[in-house]
Amino acid sequence: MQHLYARRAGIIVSLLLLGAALGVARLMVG
Amino acid sequence: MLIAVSGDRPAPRNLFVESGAMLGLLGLGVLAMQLVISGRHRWFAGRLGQDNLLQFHRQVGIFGWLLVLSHPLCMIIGSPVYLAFLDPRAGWIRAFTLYLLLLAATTLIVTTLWRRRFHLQYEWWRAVHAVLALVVVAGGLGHALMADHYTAGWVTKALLGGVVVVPLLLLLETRLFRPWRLGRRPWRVQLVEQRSGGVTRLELRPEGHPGMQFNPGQFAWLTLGPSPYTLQQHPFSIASAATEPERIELAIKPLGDFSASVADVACGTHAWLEGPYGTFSFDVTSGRRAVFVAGGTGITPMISMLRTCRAKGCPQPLWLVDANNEQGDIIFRNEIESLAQTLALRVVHVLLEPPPGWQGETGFVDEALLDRVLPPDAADIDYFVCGPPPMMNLVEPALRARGVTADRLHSERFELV
Repeated sequence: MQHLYARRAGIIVSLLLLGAALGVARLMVG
Repeated sequence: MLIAVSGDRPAPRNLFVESGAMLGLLGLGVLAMQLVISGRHRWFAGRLGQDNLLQFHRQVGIFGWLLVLSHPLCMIIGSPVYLAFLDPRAGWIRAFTLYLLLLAATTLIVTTLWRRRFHLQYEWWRAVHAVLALVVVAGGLGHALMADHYTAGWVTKALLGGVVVVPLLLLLETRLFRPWRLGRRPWRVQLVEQRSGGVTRLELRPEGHPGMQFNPGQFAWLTLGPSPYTLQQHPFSIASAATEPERIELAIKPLGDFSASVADVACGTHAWLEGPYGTFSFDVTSGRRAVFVAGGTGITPMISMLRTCRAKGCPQPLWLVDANNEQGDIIFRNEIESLAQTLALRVVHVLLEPPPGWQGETGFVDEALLDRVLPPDAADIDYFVCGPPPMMNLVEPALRARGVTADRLHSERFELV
């Protein structure tokens, strides 16, 4: 079970970081 | 990424180019953090568990690789000017280095996901993985600093360099300083014995130090031979009781080249143990009841837990479901019978291919079998599951269906890579 949670955590963290990167890029364009 | 945008803001470019730049910076940060996540650092791993961290490492590593690939793609789609980075006529050293980095990152992922398909030996894979990780992160940092857009200021350069260099230093600590420390705590092989189930029992004794304190169920990384500086380092669960830190017993099944060679190890061979690691552990003094579900060599950490229970005189009821293919595969059979006589332990052997006249359970460890052999679930029962992935994938949901809560279900997976 824990390994599934760990995998899910990896995917969720990745998506959050991706969202943050694209958000910052949008801000930099102005 | 945040360090890069915290300095002087350069002239804005179009959305594709800015996204490409951010994805590249994020990729560098993500891959640098991977060095920390995978480094077996006790201060970081804490209670998370090494196998769980490696699952996380695997997912985030793939994400980091996708970022590295999408970075040049977005930049070039945003403006063809950036094609010059990959054009040897505009600077062959830069183009060659960037192609090399893309190739290294891709090789890193491909050799990990399909190691067995490429017939890559585990120890060589580990060495290649470490070297490629070093190349990708160090090269990525060099590229980010030389791109000179967001990293034009010296303060930004220094901060970004610091954030990436620290994980690189930690990687060196793992691969160089740690073996040096291991070298100061040598062990010697005291006993090599063939046991049932094709398992080799290895008993190690410390030389000039008091041994290793561990919790029952934990594992250690074993190196055999005259020097701890070697590619041959493999994780094995400890089978001995935690009450005997000066006598470590490992039960090793020949699953790969290294584990197969263990049977030929001579008594008196030098050994080096790094650990203990892992959160798969049972507090035997808690008085809580426990159910152990083991498959094949997954029995090893449970034997350590049960032996520790015996050493401490634990009175609570315990259940052991031990699944194997054939009767001859049962590891620690005599030991299990002996433990069942001392402890309040009910043992259930399950065979996939039973011999004629077998009276015990047969087939897979599924919900129906667990319903037959286990007591009704209760808040004071902890569950420990360890075995090959197909068994784990069957047992974990079956236990959850019986009402077992996630905080009481402890599992450990081997064969991670």
